[in-house]
Amino acid sequence: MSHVPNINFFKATTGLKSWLFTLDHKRIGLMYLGFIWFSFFLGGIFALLLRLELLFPNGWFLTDRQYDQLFTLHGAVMVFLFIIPSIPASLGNFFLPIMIGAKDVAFPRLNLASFYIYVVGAVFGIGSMLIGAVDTGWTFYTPYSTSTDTAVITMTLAAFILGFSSILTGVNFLATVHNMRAKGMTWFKMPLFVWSLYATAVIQILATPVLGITLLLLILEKTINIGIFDPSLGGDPILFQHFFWFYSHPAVYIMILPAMGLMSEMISTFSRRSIFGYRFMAYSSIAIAIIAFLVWGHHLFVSGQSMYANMIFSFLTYLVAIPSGIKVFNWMATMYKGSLDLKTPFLYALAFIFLFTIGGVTGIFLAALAVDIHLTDTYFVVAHFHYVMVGGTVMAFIGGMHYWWPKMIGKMYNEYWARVACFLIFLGFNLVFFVQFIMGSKGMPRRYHTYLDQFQPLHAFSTYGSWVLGLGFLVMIIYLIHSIFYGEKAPANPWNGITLEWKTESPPVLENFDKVPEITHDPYDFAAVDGKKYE
Amino acid sequence: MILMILRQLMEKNMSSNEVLVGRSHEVAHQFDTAEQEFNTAKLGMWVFMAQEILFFGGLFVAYAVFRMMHPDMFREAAHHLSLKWGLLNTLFLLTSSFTMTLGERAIRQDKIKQGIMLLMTTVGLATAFMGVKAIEYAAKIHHGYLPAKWFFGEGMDNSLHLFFGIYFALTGLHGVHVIIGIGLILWLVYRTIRGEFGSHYFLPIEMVTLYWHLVDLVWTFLFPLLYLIR
Amino acid sequence: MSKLHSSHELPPLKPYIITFGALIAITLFNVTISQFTSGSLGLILTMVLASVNAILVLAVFMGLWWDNRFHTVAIVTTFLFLSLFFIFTMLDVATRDDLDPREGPAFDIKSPVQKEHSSGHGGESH
Repeated sequence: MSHVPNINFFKATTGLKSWLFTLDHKRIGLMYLGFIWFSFFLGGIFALLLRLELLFPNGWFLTDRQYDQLFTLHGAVMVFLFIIPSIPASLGNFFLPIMIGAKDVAFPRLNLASFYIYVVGAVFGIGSMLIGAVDTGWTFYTPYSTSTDTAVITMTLAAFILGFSSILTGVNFLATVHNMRAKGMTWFKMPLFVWSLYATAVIQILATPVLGITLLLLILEKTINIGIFDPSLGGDPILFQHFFWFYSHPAVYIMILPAMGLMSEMISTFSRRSIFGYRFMAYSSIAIAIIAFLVWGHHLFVSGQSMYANMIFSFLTYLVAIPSGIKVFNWMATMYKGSLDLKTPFLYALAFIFLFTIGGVTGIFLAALAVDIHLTDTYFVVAHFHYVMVGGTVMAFIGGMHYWWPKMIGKMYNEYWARVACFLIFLGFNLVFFVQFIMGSKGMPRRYHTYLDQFQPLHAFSTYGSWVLGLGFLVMIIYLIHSIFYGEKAPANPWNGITLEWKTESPPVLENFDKVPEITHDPYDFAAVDGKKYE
Repeated sequence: MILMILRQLMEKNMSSNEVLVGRSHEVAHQFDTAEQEFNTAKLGMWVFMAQEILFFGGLFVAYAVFRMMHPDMFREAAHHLSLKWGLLNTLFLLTSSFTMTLGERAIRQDKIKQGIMLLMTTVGLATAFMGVKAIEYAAKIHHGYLPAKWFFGEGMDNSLHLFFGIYFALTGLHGVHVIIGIGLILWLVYRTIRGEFGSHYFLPIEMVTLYWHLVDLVWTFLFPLLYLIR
Repeated sequence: MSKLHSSHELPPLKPYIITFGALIAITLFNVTISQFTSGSLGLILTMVLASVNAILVLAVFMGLWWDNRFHTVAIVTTFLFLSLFFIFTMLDVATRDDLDPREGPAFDIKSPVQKEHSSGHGGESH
């Protein structure tokens, strides 16, 4: 590797090969970003089709089976291809080394490998749609998944492969945070985005292998009938749910934790205030990572799980509210008396706080055993999940992408259209999902495309909302692509941020910094940087 | 046969002086020092092994659940396994772990030839392990002790097929790890013959040694849990 | 515990030889006592001995004794999380029908494999 530190990483080498075989974390991050948004639009098209089908109560253009396949694909693509890799693999890959003052991640070749493993997983996943789309729901519950004739093996193989991509990213990030920090970058001088990626890496490493073994057992069950999950052979189908959720519950924290880290970055920068309770923010990330492993049983409340287990899991589930609450309150306290700059990324951050709080509070309802029995498998759960995942993770992801777009691409996007898109996405999202809370509490079950006439107005309302939401994303993709070619050249520090990524050029040079900076102040110490006191 | 080819390769390479000096290893650009590179890679390996432990851990949990459900069946099933072969395999793996460590030490002290012989001994023991495994599998298949649907063995308990589902999943997954380990060690031998390793650089050897001990560690639990149920 | 100062310092040879001897001895001892014990006592004894073996492998062969303390922390954490998985799952299976015994233990479904094997069980029938 030759040392040419002064050229920006786009221009350092050129040609298709220089991208396909790159070991530069920035390029790998951008390639991830492309694939991840492609997956998002694929999953989004499925979602729009689902909503369109639900416009009328009797099912008007899909058969039962096609509807089942469509919601399974929507779930599987969105979970495994989009939201699990979303922030860590794209923005995390790009910014983690820069934020701690490193030249690259610890294992660049492993990083490229995990990208290609992701691509192979995506090929399997999309391939499975062509040879017989899965209709089990993205959770692959046995015994249905072992008896359906759709391409369960191909899809589970895809998820298995994607899991390894996720594990390798986690290993890489953990080693990077431990051993690659610049001089003076102590643990408590790290930006909170780095802390959240560290907590995420812990979950990725400790939970994902269990998904691997679960899916492997499912494949063995389907191919050679080993009988562990098959009740007709004496196996235990609820055991599959334990195995599956031991990964998949922590996985929702893989999805939300990096988003919380991004939130801290954006809120601090656009309020021009040091983050309130920095240490608590760092500790609460770790606390969430640990509690993540203690609550998976709340997915099994109505499965026939032991009553004692239900009670313990219900109690433990409430605990998640504590670190999450700490974070929300600290963001509010950070903004208090700050000099707020209502730029697009900050608007998304505000949207996050509003939507994530609704998602979190409805999560408390669902943690309560008795309430959950009424609400399980209704639209209430669907709405709760989407408020946390779309209202939380996706909002933060888009916000973070806008926050760092000038840094990554070196071009400014159009602020006016960005605000329009933000408004459309926020409005559309609420139109789609808020009514689903009402439908769910009235007993509308999920995963059916025919329903009672009385739900028709609410379903139609939700479908109209999905068009607004879709339009918002369309506007966003248009002005972002436009900005790549015609955007104004971005300055090195458009938002006056003070974490390390703003101390290098936009886009960054090949090895991130001309001279590795020495870290002397806390990550959000605006007072020290501006030389005046902020109240 | 293999040993002869190896010897030829060794003589061919050892004759040049380059081997004794060793090819210099260049520290990857993202690290400041070789020490940082070594520590980071080792940390990565340990974290990767944590992942492996949970990967196998899932199967051990499945084992525990079914053993709790059917304690008598497990007791009977263990009698259909051969303690003799199991013990022999345990001794093979433990010894291979030991020779692997000795091989690593030898290469770290620049005793290259001795190191290569010890690594090859490790490969030999691992191959013997897989051979015994093959004999055991053949016997199971012959007598019909197969996973659930294919089961036609004889036994008192009518849920015996569940044990063999778990048995084949556990030992099969472990066997795959042994085969990967054999491949990795052979790759190390090849690179050692090329003169890449010595006291100046032995990181890949350290990594594979850790991996090989992990394979041994898993078997440490597999052996008593499968063969020693009374 | 002693910690080596650099990655290039070699730990002494003696602990490896002693450990190897101990591993073989404990394995043989484990096989021997398994012939005389049974039930949960046998299981506990066997698992204790296996764990001792595992700890020896981790501490000496894998070098945790001389190594960076964080590696020990990582492995201990791993086993703690694995035990969480184990404990909660077993808690469910062990107490699943304590409060609701109407249908009998869910796991007591007898296998139809031997009876129905000849009639092609496992095809489209379920």
